Amino acid sequence: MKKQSQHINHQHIAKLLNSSTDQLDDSVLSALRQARTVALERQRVAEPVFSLSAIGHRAHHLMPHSTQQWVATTIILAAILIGAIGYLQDTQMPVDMEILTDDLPIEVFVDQHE
Amino acid sequence: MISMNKLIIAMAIFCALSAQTAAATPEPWAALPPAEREALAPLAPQWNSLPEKQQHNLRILAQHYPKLKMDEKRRFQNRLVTWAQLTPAQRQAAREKYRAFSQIPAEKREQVKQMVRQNQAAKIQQPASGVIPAAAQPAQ
Repeated sequence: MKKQSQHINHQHIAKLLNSSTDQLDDSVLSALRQARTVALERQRVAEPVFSLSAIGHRAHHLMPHSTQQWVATTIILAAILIGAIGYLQDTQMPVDMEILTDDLPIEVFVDQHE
Repeated sequence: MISMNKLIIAMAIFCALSAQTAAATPEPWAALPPAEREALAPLAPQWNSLPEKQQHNLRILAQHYPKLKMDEKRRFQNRLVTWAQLTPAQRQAAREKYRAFSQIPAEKREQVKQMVRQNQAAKIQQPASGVIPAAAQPAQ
């Protein structure tokens, strides 16, 4: 019995269903068709929705979990911080430039006896 | 997973080292870009003997040079050698004085500038012998 059920393929099932529906009354068939149409109209399609819980879930995976990962993360953040400070120092007009270009002579600010 | 951790740590150390080494790299005068050589021209004879940190700071100044007005460019180049010859302590003291001077009200700053200009003008008028002309001597 079990073996026999395994041999039943999809086409065979479709044939059985078709033959069984042929035996139904027209009123039953029309009611089934109508019910199918209504069901399709009411079908809800699942769409991915952005939510804060999803961020939290992903952030959890991004967070370091072991000591090694924490150490690596700290080193990377420190490198980024050092780089950012260096960049800001390079882009800002340094006070040296202001001293060298001010209309007051440099001797006003420099103590030659130090 | 362990190899992934090692890779992350290696990358982190590489990032830290590259950030550190990029801060101060000595550059011979001949290797400087033409724009920097133009700005730092008065320092050409002694450039290669300057400390790395000082070279780095001067190159930062040189990057601002194209944005200066003509009179600022002239002042910059006239003062560059004097500035480079100062000790780090003297330069730091000068920066602190300049910052303090920048914080006083504009009117007082202008008064100080006026006094300095008058002082300079008097020095120029004073002959090399050090004898003050009769007209310039204060009445006793």
